Amino acid sequence: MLEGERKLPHLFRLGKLGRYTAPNLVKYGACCVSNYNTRDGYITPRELARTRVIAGTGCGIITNQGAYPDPRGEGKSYFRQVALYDDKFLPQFEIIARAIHDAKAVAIQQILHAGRYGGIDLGYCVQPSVVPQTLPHFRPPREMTKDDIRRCIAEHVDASKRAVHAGFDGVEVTSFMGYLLASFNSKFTNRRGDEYGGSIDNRGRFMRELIDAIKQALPDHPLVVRLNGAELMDQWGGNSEDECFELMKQAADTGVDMISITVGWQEAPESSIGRDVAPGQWNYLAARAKRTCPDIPIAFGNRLPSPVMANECIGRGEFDFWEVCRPLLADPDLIHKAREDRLHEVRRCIGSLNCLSRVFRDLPYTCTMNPALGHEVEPEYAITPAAVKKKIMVIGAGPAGMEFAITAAQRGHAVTIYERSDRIGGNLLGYASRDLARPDDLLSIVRHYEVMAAKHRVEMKFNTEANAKLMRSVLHQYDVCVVAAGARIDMEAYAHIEGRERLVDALDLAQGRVQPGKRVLVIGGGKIGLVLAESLAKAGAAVTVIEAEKRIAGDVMPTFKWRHSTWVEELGIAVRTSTRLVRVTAGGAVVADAKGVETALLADTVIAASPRKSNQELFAQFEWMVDELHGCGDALMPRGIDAAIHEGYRLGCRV
Amino acid sequence: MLDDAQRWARTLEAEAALFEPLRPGARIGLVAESIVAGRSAPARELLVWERGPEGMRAAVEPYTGFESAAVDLLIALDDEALRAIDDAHGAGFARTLRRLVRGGHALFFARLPRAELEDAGYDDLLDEIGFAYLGTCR
Repeated sequence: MLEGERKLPHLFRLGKLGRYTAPNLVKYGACCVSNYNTRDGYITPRELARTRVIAGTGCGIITNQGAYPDPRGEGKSYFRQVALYDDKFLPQFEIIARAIHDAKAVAIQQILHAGRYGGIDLGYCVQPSVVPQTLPHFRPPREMTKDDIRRCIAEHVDASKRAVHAGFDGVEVTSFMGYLLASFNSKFTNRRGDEYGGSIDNRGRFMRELIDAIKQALPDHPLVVRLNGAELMDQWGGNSEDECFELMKQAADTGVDMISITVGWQEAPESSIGRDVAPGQWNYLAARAKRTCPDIPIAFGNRLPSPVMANECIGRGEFDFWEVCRPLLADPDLIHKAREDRLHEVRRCIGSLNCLSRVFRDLPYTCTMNPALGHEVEPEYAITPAAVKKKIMVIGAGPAGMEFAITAAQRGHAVTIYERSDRIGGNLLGYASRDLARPDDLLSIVRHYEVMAAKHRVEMKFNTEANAKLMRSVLHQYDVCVVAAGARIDMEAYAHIEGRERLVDALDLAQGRVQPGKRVLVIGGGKIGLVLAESLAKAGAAVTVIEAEKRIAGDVMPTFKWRHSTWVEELGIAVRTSTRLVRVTAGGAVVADAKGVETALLADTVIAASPRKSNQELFAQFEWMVDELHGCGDALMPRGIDAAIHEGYRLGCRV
Repeated sequence: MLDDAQRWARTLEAEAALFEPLRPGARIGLVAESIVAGRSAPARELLVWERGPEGMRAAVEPYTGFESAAVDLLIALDDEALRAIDDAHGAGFARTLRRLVRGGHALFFARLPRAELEDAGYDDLLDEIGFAYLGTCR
C-alpha cells in the first residue's frame, strides 16, 4: 500500500456501481462540455487526446461528457456538444470506452438533454411550459406535448443502448441545472395542468418514466442520475431543498443505481462553485442525500476540491464517491499524487471559472492553471526533452517566469531565476493576499511554484536587480534570457498631474511598503484598483474608486465582473465612472466628470492603480548581450494570471 | 403602482441617459410576479416602456401571458419590489432596480437572445441594473 493510500484509506477503497467494481471511490464528473468537437456532434482527435488524459487520471469511475440524444438538436446546448442520436457517432465513443477500460475504470456515458437551455442551433427550446429563461443567452420556449415526451424517452433509451453498444458500462442522465428533466421537476418552470405538472409526484413523472425505460432496456447496466440537492431558485418559486430530496427519493425508488448530487441552476442568483464559495459549503446536501437514500451510492463533489476532505466525508458516511472534475482539469495527476502522498505538489484549481466562461461563450474550454488542457493532441504543448540543453536566465519570479522556469527545467535546461524581491510570487503575492474571494487559492499558486522550483532544481537568486550591469557580470554564461519582469503602474501617465508626488503606487500598497489612511481614493477601477479598494473598505476605510471609462472592471474576467460589482456595493465603496483625476492636493484630489465638472474629494491616501505598463526596458538593454532573448507574461503586455501561466508554459516547451 | 403611465413617464425622463442607446421600438415590460406565477392578482396590467423617436414613453397594456407580451425583456416584480419601485420614482430608480435584481425581487425574463439585445442597444441598461451574469456556474 502506498503512503497516500494509507493516509486516505476511504478514498482508495474499492467501490461498487451496479455489478461493476471500481478500483477506488473517485468518480470523474462530466462537469464541462469541452467544445472540442465538430459542430455536427462528431468527436475529434483533439477530444480523443484529451480523453486519454482523463482516462489516465486514476479515477475509479469516469463519466464522459454529455451527448445529446435527439437528431433535431433540441437537447444540444453547447456549441460543439457531441451527439449520440445515431450509430454513425459510435466509432469515437468506442475509442473512449476502450481508453477508460484500459485504465481499469468503470465507463459511464452521460446523456445530456439541455431542455430549457437547448436548441442552440434551432430557434427554440423545449420545456414543460412556456416560461422564458431569466438569462438572455437562450432560445424561446415551446411546450412539449405528451408525444414529444414519449419520443424524448425513446431517444434517451436509444442513446443509452448505443453507449453500452460502444462499450460503456452504464449511462448517466441529467436532471439538474435547469436541463430538461430538471425543468419538469421544478415548479418554477413546470406550469402544466396534465399528469406531468402540478404536484411533485406529477412533476417527477417524466423523470421516473425515463429512468424506468432505460432500466428496462438495460437492466444489467448501471444508471446514474444527476439531481439537484438545492436548485438555489427557491426565492423565485423554484423547488425547495425538501422538494429536491423528495425527487431524489422518487429516482431511488424507480431503480437508479447511483445519485450524483449537484447544486444550482444556470439561472440561480448565487454561485455554487466559484472561488468565493468556501470548500465544503454544500457537503450537507450530500449528507442529507445519504440519509434520504441510504441504499443508493451517492456521488458528490460541488466545491469540494480537496481529496483529504473527501476522504474524511466518505469515512463519516456522508457520501460514497467523491465526484471531481475541475480540480482534475487543473491537475490531471491529482489522484496519483494523492495516492503517492505528494499532495504538496498538486496544482490547485483556483475557482477562476475560466473554463466555464469560455464554454458559455461557445469557445473550447481551457484552464488557467493547466496550459496544456485542450492541447493534448498538439506535440508543441508536450514537455519533451530538449534537443539542446541550455543555460537559461529568467528575470522575474512571478507566475510567467516560474511557469517558464519549471517547464524548461523539466526538459533538461539549467535554469536560474533572478528576482529583485526576497521570494517567489511577483506582483501576484501582494494582490492575492488582498483577494476578497479566497486568498489561499491564489496563494496556492505561489506555494506550488516554491515546491516545484525546489523539486526541479531551479536556482533562485533573490534580492537581485536585473540590469545591464548584472548582465555584463554574467556575460556569455547563459544561452537564453527570458524577461518575465511583469508590469508596473505607469506613474509616467500622471506626469502632467499637479501634486502627482503625493500619489501612492498600488503595488507599494499591495506589498505593504505603504500603509493607507482611513479615507482613500483609488484611481483606476480595473482589477488592481478593485482588489485594493475592496480590501481597504473591508478593513474599515472609506473608499472611492475613480474610473475614466464608463464601467469598472474592464479588465476583469467575465465570471468575476459581477462579483466585484457586488462587493463594491456591499462594502459601500463609492464609484465615479467617466471621471478623471485633475490634481492631487494635500486634502485629497480634484476630479472631473465627463462634462468637465470638477469636484474636490477628501482623502488622506490617493492610490494610482492604473494604467499598467510592461517592464520592457530589459529587452532593449539585453538585445545584444545574449544569444536568445524572449519574453512572456505581463512583461509583453499587462493582462493577468491566465496569460502569464500559459505564455510561460508555451515558451518553456519551445526553448 | 404599475398602472400610472404618466408617473412612469416622468421617471423615464429622469433616467433618460440609461435608455438613450436603445433603438426605436425597443420594449420593456414590467408586471407583478404574482401574475406571472399564475397566482391571483388585483389587476393584470403590464407596464410597457417603449423607445420612441423622441425618447422613452410609458403605457399600460393588459397582460395575457408570456407569449403574447410583445416585449424584449419582461421584468416580474414581487410585492417588495413593487413597493420599492413605487417609492423610487425619479433619478435613482435604476439603482433601486439593481438592488432588487440582486436581491431576487425583480426577475427578468429574456424574450430576445443576448446578441439581439445587444443589437437593440440594451447592453448599458443591462449592465447598469446588474442583469448580465450567468447563473450558478459563474
